Amino acid sequence: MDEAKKIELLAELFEVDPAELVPEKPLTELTWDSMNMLGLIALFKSEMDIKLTVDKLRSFKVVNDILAEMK
Amino acid sequence: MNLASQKILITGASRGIGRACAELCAAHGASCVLVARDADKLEAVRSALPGEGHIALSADLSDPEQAVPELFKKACADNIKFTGMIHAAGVCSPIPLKVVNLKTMSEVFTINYFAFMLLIRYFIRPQYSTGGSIVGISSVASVTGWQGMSVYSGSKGAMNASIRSLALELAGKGFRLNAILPSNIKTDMLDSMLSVLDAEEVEKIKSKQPLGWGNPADVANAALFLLDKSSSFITGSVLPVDGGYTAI
Repeated sequence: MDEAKKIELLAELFEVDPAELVPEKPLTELTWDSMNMLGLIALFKSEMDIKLTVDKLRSFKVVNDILAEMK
Repeated sequence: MNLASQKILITGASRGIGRACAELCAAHGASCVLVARDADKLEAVRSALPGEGHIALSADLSDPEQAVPELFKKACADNIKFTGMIHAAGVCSPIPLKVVNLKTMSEVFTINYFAFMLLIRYFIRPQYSTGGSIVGISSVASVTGWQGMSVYSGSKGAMNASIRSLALELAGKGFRLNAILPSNIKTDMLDSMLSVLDAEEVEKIKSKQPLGWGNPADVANAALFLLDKSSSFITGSVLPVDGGYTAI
């Protein structure tokens, strides 16, 4: 998956302008709530067929942590 | 209640509600045909059931057009017909609208609804049954709103609606169809969803059920009743087993 597509998907999930999603942005500055966590799990499964564990989810601190897992 | 001499098809039988249904049906004398994807887990359930004549059939209902004809052929190779069915297989994943697409909707609807319909279509064939009781494990999410669960809710709502129509279509042929609407039942599926939430959010969900968390056996008890002749005047209905969830 190319970087532009990854950003597009995450921008929709977090309901922000794609330009806001710089790699070092802390997730605490986005809407990092349970609904979006569940949405991320669903997105990983649907778009990449990756099962995101809760432990992995909780390890994400900045945008780049998520981008790095999106293969 | 007594299911002696009955043959019951149970999907999703390797765990949770499906497993509890299999255990209870077997305990009341039924021969059970257990269906799920995981052959090892399914065999573990089958081998622990009381009574005899139980069959474990590994099948992937995410491809129901392929899986359903095959499983009926294998299940009735002994020439013994079915008298009941419980569709407990299901996908219950939160999918917020932002992530909804045709693929995610298809995955949920295929197992929760399309497979259910095809199972019924084959169940009623004269070589597989001559009447009986069909139970769909639906959800309170089919009649109430759950954030992030619009696709799941839709699939269970479709199940309820079709059960009402099919109850009329099949009554004259000796079939009864009913849905059970569980609320939050303590299963691996629920634990997996709750693990993402914080303690306050979990407590908020639990507070919607005045009787607390449900157990798979609570749902299985209702399924047993609907399979048994003691419910012979009940068809086309939805039965909440929800600890008071829909009363609020």
